[in-house]
Amino acid sequence: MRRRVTAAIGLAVAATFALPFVYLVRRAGGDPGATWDALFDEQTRGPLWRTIQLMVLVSITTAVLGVGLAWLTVRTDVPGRRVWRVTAALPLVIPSFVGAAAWVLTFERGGLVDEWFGISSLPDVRGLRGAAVVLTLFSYPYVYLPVAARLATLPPSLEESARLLGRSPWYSFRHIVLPQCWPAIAAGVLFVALYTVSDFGAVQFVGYDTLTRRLFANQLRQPDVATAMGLLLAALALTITLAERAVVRRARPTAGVGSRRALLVPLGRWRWAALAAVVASTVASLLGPVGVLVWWVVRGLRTGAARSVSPDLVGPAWSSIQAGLAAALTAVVVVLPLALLTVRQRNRTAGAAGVLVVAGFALPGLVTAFAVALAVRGTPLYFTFPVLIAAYVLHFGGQALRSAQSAVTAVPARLGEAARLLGAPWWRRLLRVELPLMLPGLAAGGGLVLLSVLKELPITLVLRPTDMTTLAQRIFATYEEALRVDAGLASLVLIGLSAVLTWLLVIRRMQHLR
Amino acid sequence: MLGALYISVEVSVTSPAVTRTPLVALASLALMLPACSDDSEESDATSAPTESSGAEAGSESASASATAGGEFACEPGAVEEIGGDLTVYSGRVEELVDPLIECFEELSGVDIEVRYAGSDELALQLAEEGDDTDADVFFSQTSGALGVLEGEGLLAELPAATLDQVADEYRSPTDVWVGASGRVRTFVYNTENVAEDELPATIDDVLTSDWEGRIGVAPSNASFQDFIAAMFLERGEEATAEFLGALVALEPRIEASNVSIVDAVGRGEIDGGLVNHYYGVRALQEDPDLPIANHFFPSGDLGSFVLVAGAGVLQAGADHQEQALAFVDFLLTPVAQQFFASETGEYPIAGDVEPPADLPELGSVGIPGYDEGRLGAAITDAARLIDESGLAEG
Repeated sequence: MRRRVTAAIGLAVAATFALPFVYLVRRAGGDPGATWDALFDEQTRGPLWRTIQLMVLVSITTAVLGVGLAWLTVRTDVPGRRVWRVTAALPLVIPSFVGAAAWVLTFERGGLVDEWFGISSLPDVRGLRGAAVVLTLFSYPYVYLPVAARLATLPPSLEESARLLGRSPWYSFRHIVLPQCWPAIAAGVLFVALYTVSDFGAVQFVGYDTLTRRLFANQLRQPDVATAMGLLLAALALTITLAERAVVRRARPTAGVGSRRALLVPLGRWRWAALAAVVASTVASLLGPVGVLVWWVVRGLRTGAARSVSPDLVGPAWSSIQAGLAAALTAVVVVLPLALLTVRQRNRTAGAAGVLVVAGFALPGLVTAFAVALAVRGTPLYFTFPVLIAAYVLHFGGQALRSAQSAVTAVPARLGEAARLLGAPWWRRLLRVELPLMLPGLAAGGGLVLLSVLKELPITLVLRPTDMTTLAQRIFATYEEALRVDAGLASLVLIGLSAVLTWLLVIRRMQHLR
Repeated sequence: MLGALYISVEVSVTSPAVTRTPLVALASLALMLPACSDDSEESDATSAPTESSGAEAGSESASASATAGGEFACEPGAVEEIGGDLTVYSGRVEELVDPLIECFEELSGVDIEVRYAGSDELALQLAEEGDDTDADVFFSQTSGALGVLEGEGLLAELPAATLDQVADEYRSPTDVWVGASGRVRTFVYNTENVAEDELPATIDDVLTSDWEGRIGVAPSNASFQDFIAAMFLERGEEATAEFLGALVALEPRIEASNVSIVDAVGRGEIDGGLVNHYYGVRALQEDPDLPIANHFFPSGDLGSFVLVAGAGVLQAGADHQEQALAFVDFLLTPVAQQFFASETGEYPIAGDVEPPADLPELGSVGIPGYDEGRLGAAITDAARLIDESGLAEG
């Protein structure tokens, strides 16, 4: 009986999250010959190969940056760590085209660095290198957040033993901390890979032609090519997701949640070098772009381009917050049962559903948007807030799922067993014992969804209620029309809002971090 | 002699010293636009290059009256008061067209709901929505997107009285949409790095080795694709592929959009780029020191192709036919045409409203008699040729 119930839940989730994939197949079915031709056309190879190159490169760089920052800010005595914990998560909210624009404007020949410091012999910031740098700087929080959450809940006992045995901090990081974080790192890198594959803004800006870029450029003009690109992205996404699953299955970390505060490693004379590294990363991924945005606004206002400033940012900010919070909360609630099923019972159907939930993130938002639109068109649900939220969850739900799975894994089974022996019913065990322990991980997952929704564009454009405007919409529309004062202002509000929300909802919840 | 074939007009906008409110800023900007120099001089493509330098513009602006460039005012009488509801899908940006929409709402008493998004996305959405759509009007940034809906048979025929306000070349070949404003393709260049006698006389002159590694294009941008579509219709597949091949050989800088091309030219990272005219105008409004100017190719040259933004009425919007037609008609009234000229920096194409003062006359750019409406049929071929040329791959 219980088996059947869980299978039914798994099937229902799988069916829902399969929607974008079904939509692509349906589109391909419209003219299978043309899609087939486009799939195996010579011109498809280039974008596919470039997409894979970029994905691999960015996965490696974000893993290094994300884990490094998480460890430094959570587990060492680096000065100012309470501030860095928040700022390190924020680059995720900078829409990639804004980040790319800021990056190019800063470092390109004739850019700000050239203008202010006279340094003009900077390396080329275009193509593969430019795309990789920009995507690393703005997507490493996918690794940073789950790893920081995991680090914050690691039991200190093993590290204490290592220290007592005279091992160096590096030794305990390498042999004790890192192995315990594998699932969190793998989950983070997986999302970086999927995000990289689905990104349009950054690759478009630095002129690097990937599958997604070609899909966007051809959506209206060569629909068959766009469909073929979508199918390739779907195949790529499923492959990556299954690969990650295989890797994580093999690694079995010791479950454990510390009852005491996680251990802080004294860095000694490396303290200032570590600080320099954290500051450098913050400058490149957050302060630099913010500086450029401020410069746009100040310059524009000074020269009287105020003609373009539309004062109402409160309405869009409010819409963004509502949408972000609703999607984050819904996503966590929807994926928690799936996380419990996949981790605790190793249920096959639930496992398959999990793969679909995660892989959907690699499909460009436009595909998800049109899939959902098709499902609800002609009903009163079309262009309503709940459907918009559902589409966000469909697209970003995987982020919450992986964090939830890590959170579930981290709860030691013996706690539940103890509670069971004491006669507590399952819901009580969940509510009183397990949920509080999972909360940091769940909050991190919800936080990822929240930040992603705040900058989301294509789904919002296609599905939002007509009278709703988000900040991301304002940023994109004004930037495209060269109204940079407006684009700058709206971006700054978006980043400020995200800072507050991330701190309130995510960082503060990582209880050990307080 | 070649030099005499083109017109070079420097775009220069002097900034108002103090701007307190957006409204004051609007008014003063309109006043500050350099006054149009002699019309006959500028419209005559065979005369020597004319230009109004920044200094001249500054001195002229003080004495320029509001009538020189004209000013947008939402005057009653432009449209009848009819009431009712209307849903518009607008590919044009809210920040730009909102005052116009509000004006229509105020004058007509029509309760209007506008859904904003990119023109391509909205066209796709409308194509997928089919008969289920709530949209009554599609107000598009590009004629290409209108052409797609035209091909899908989703647009209703417009009355002759509406269509006739616009020249044949700026409206649908099957009478289902009409252009409302125009933007001209130009060559934006860095005034510090490019001497005027170096400027290409025609679009094909860009292809000489002089410009190798020095120009920017935005191959995935709708306006570039529409320009290639125009070339495809004018010169055929082979010649267009040849043009694209020669362009690729120049190793141009591949940019995301017109905006980023203008930025790169401003920084001196590249020396020139193929864009629509008003991006340079806006960049100068935000940063008057930017060393950029628009160079216009002569009339008849594909490089000075005029792209129209326009509107069509959805078949599915039959319930609100009256309001929909009133809206489309409103876009062609002097009030709206003046809005495009003075607020969005575009060419008015209906009636006799003057173009923005810093632009050459419409007659001296564009391709006379060229049927813009046919573009929709060629955009797929254009996108394919761009893909095949490898231009987007950088």
